[in-house]
Amino acid sequence: MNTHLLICHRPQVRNSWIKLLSGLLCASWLTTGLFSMPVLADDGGKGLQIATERKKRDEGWKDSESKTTMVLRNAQGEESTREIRSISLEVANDGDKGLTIFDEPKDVRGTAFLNHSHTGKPDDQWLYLPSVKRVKRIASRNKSGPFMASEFAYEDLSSFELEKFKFTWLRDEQLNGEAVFVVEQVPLDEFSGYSKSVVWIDQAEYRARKIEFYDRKNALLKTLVMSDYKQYLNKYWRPLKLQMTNHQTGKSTDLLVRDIEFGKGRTDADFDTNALQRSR
Amino acid sequence: MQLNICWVLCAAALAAVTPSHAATIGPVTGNETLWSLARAARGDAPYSMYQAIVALQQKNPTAFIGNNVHHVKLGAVLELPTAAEIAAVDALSAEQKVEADAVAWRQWVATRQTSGGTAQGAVAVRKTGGLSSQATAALARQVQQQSKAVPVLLAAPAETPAAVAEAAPVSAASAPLAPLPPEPSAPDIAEAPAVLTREPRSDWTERLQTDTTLGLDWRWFAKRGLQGQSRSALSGSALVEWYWQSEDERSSWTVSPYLRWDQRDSERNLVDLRQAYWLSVGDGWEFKAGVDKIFWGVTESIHLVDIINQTDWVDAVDGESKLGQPLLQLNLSGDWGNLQSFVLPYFRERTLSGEQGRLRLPLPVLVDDAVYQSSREQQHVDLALRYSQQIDQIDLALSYFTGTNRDPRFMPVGQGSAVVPYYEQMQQWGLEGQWIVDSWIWKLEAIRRSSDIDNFTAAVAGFEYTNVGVFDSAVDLGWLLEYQYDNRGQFAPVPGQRDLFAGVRVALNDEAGSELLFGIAQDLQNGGTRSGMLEASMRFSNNLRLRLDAWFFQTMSLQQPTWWFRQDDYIQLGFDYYF
Repeated sequence: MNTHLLICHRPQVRNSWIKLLSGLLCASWLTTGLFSMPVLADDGGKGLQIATERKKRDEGWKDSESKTTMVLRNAQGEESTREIRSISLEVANDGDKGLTIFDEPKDVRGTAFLNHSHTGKPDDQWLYLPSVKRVKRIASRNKSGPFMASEFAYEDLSSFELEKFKFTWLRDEQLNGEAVFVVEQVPLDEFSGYSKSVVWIDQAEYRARKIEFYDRKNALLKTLVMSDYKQYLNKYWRPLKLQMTNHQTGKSTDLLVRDIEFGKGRTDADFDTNALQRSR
Repeated sequence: MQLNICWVLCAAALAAVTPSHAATIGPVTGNETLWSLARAARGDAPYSMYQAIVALQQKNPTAFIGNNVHHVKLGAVLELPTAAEIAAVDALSAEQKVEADAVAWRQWVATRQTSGGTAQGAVAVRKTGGLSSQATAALARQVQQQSKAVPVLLAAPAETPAAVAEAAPVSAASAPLAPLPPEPSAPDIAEAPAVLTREPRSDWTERLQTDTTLGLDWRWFAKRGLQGQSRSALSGSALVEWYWQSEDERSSWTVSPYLRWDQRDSERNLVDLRQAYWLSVGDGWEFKAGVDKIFWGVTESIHLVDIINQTDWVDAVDGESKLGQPLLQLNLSGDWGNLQSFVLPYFRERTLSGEQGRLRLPLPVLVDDAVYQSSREQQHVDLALRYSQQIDQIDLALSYFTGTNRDPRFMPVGQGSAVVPYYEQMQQWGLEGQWIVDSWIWKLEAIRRSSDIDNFTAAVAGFEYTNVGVFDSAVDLGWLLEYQYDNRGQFAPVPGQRDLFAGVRVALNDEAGSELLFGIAQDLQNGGTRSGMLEASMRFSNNLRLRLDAWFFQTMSLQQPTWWFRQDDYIQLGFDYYF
């Protein structure tokens, strides 16, 4: 996913009980540590080449913020919504940092989630619980858990890093009249909830348009469609709409992103535990 | 109402615009701001200002350079879109376009700033002259008014070029600019200061955030009290939080009053300021003055190190509810770690159950007659320091406190017919450690406390282990195990001397956010002594959460503090309403 818009969060927090969710988020932890170099596939390196270009085109954005409405839909079509705000900091040669504040449902308002994602070691994650004014550190190993009871797993919302996958180019084809690359990504993290994902990347701008996720039993689990792409700073494309459909449960989640801003001059100090306690 | 007022202001602001036929507007000048525009957009108008702006641009494609809404040609006469045309613009994408155009505009200015010469820039400013987002705003406003069929009378004093130049946005005028924009030659161009890119925050009231929580709780006890108290009690509470942040995000005010009423026990009635402080933030420092809650610690079953705030004991048996503490706080942070220092100029007394309350001591407590070791009593100034550092997967903190002990002792008075709380002076060193290993978090808290009455060491250590998505479901399980130690042994006035706490936490990860925590603390030296707790909650709607809490206390030993609670097992049902 091409999104740094959203960061990592932990929902149903109420008192401290969330930390339990140990889901990992924006993580990029390679469990063995051996894979700090991208892994070559037998496609002549084309898959990695495409992924590298995709990553390259999204470098240099420094910091951003956004607001997101999540629309959760069950198999009967009943909807509920969540509201979150996120700020992100690009970190060179490592995973990004993110701070997410929950606004709705109102019983979790003020709860904030801080994530320092890393490549090559576990993420650092903290949760701020406003009722007891406590910052809790969270074990971040497992990243396959649902994000705010949605169809998005924490790992779906993490920043895209080359060190996380083995890439294989499958074919070129047309998607909605546009030329796309179809690339398979096999996660290198053994704690990923997926055996693989297949990504449709447009050849014009190297934006991920569609991703199919396969579960550990190699059955199609979910499809993510990203649309309403908008360009910022004349360079960075962000999808304003992300629709995830779970084929096994019939549930779906839409993320509607708005008010994206770049270049607010955020620094590391906006992403430490002091800042987490101050966040509103 | 707000919108109508704005329109009056807008009409005044439009004094610079030539009177025109209803279907056109202009030539444009720039005396208004996008701020007021955005504010108007938040009113109850049928269309947003964004829609109006974009509709105007679509109607007059040649009047905007590069299709950017912020690049209005100076002196352009614009045709006004109809209400239907405005309505046809998608509000969300309009907003996004206006924002994106502002970003593009900023970039464009930046480009020009780096490539342009000063002298030429000055010329350029005069030439492109000041027609700005402000002009855009005025236009949009007028469009909006037109579309609502509100007649607007426009006065038309002719503007001199000099006046126009002076009205140029500061951001453009103060920076050296290249003589011409990169767009196709356009002699007169208006530039926007791109202030629309964020929520309008010019008005301080718009940066004020108000959150309210109302609680209703019903406690039901399994037995009548040892002193014959009632088996059930109803209580209600209200917590309001006002939060205001300055525009530069460097300082803020927080005020949070709390009210509680109890049906049976007047000692549970409370008016408190949980928070009321001013906070200022700089590079590597934070300063706070006022009343706040500060939490120290890492463990779950007991909070040994946590010392700044007094416990609101009657609110919650687990001791996690705290009274607001007056304080001055300075935080310093850097690569070397984080240092918090506190001056605590006033002491808060613990809340304790009254005669009609449950979970009380056998004798009445005369809370209004508390005795202090210090002659300054509640005015004794306490001091505290805490240094913390994170080293990869390890967190460490060392703390020191000197001042009035938050935990009262009880002295008999009146031939033993009652007791009064006694607050001694003490010093406490605290250590917190935490180590994250995969799905395990290992935790340690230890204190060394000294007073004229005793010196002791206490510690709690254990782990939290998390199973995510058990049995292929979304359910997460967390396992807690903590050992509580106090070197005073059986003489310790606290339950956890050689006790083992085991707990499990269940998060269903469902839409209702259902979760549950169940735990038991077993005394390892006194097999018949244990206590247990259950906390469960689920969301009913966006605004409503239902809670179920339960506690039980078992002991056969008169020496145990929980001896006096042995008939106080209870279930508490609560509703929290948030708005």
